[in-house]
Amino acid sequence: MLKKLMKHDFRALSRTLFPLQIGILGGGIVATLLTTLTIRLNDTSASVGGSSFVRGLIMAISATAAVLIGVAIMASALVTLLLICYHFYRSFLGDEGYLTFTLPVSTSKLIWSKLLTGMFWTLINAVVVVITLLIFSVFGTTSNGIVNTDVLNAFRTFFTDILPQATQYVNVPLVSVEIVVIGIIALAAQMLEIYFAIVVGGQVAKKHRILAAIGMYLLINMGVGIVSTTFMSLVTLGEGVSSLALNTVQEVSTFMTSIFGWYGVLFAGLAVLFFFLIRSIFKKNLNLQ
Amino acid sequence: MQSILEVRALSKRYGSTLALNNVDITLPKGKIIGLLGPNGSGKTTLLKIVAGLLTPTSGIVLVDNQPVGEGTKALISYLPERTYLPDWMTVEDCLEYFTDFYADFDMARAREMLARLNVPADKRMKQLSKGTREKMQLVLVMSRRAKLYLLDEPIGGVDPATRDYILDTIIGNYDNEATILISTHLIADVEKVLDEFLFLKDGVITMHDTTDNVRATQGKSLDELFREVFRC
Repeated sequence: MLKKLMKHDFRALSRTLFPLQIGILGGGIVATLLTTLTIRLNDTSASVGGSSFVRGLIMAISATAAVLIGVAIMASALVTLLLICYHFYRSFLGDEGYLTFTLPVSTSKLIWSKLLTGMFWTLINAVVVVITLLIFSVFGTTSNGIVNTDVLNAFRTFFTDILPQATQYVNVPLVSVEIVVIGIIALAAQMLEIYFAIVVGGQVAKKHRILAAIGMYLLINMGVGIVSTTFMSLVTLGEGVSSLALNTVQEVSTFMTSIFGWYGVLFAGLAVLFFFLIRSIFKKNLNLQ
Repeated sequence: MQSILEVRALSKRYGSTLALNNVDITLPKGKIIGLLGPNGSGKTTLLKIVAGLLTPTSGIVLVDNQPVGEGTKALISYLPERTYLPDWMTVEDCLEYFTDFYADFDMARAREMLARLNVPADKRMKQLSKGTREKMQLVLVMSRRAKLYLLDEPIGGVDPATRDYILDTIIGNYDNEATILISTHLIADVEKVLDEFLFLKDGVITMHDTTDNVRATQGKSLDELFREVFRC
């Protein structure tokens, strides 16, 4: 049943999020072309000397458009998240809730489906934004030729010089896996925190539920901030006591790896907490208007 | 006789309002039963609790001897008073959705009913009129081979011709083993199809009888009895 739920959730989200990601990629390419145009016109003006009004106007429009598109690309992460949250809200607290909650499916699976599809689209958005920025930095920042070789060289240096040096002090594969795993857990915790705020907002308000959800999110986030700070302070204190003699880079790196691990524990704990709180409200206190 | 629905000492409170007050009901299998009462009497609340959309304040609800949950949702086919299908879904998407989640969904029956309604499969819900969307929901709900159908005001707010179509659909797709609980205040229209009825007033069941018994013992139609009992 989870697969079927995910299939339908994925379909519902794809309707808006797929065109959005295409738009980001397209916008990125347009911004790249406009920036290249601006740079080239600027260089031509400098070498030829003197510049016409039209050339200046084109440069101004191109530069402005490129900046606006760049801002839009950055804002797309927020739009993606908002669309995912709105899908959750509609499916559970809107009229569609009559369909969702009468399905012969466990409450846990309903939440899992929303969580996994939401995380999937957030990650897709992140990948699309990174690809767009790569295209921009490689193709949109040079006046000589098509490709900015400086950027390519920087990437090459990272893999041929910096990374091998880093392996002397840290276990790069282990740290990479740790970062990815903690990133995924943190994303799950964040998403469930927002979902929880939406659910509680729906419980406390009869009208203006979205506004109530935003208010609840701010409150919950404040609580999470306090818990996280307290937890990590205690952990750092505990780790620090046994690591006062951090003399080598390797010892520092081990200390940091351990701290990252504790962050993972914190995010996992928050994710589990929010999951069960949402489940409990849906199972024991569901009151669909 | 085996019961499909048992409700014991059920109460539901919304703030200071008591929507259902200590309701006890036992419904047999294989009957069409009217849940009758004026607006605000608690009909929708009762159906929503049985469907699992509301949590009761107190009391027990058993559907085919199971407490309301994942298991009972597979047995119940519920038609709410509002349209709940997402606007972006096509008719075909809706059919696929019901096929995916309900093992008892009869696709052939659904297609046949939709063909009679002339609803194109590629139309989105937002492209259909409100009336057609309501019919679409009725088709989906009645195309299931469920044990208990909960129909909340299925004929409210529609023209007399559509009313006849809906009642024909309900009767035409009714399985003798299943029970249909229809909530309405349009008694005259549904009276002819009802085996039993429940009168609900201010959250209390005031009468539960067979329609034949009312006619035989009181010499009145159900509509006349309703008007008498619920006179303002």
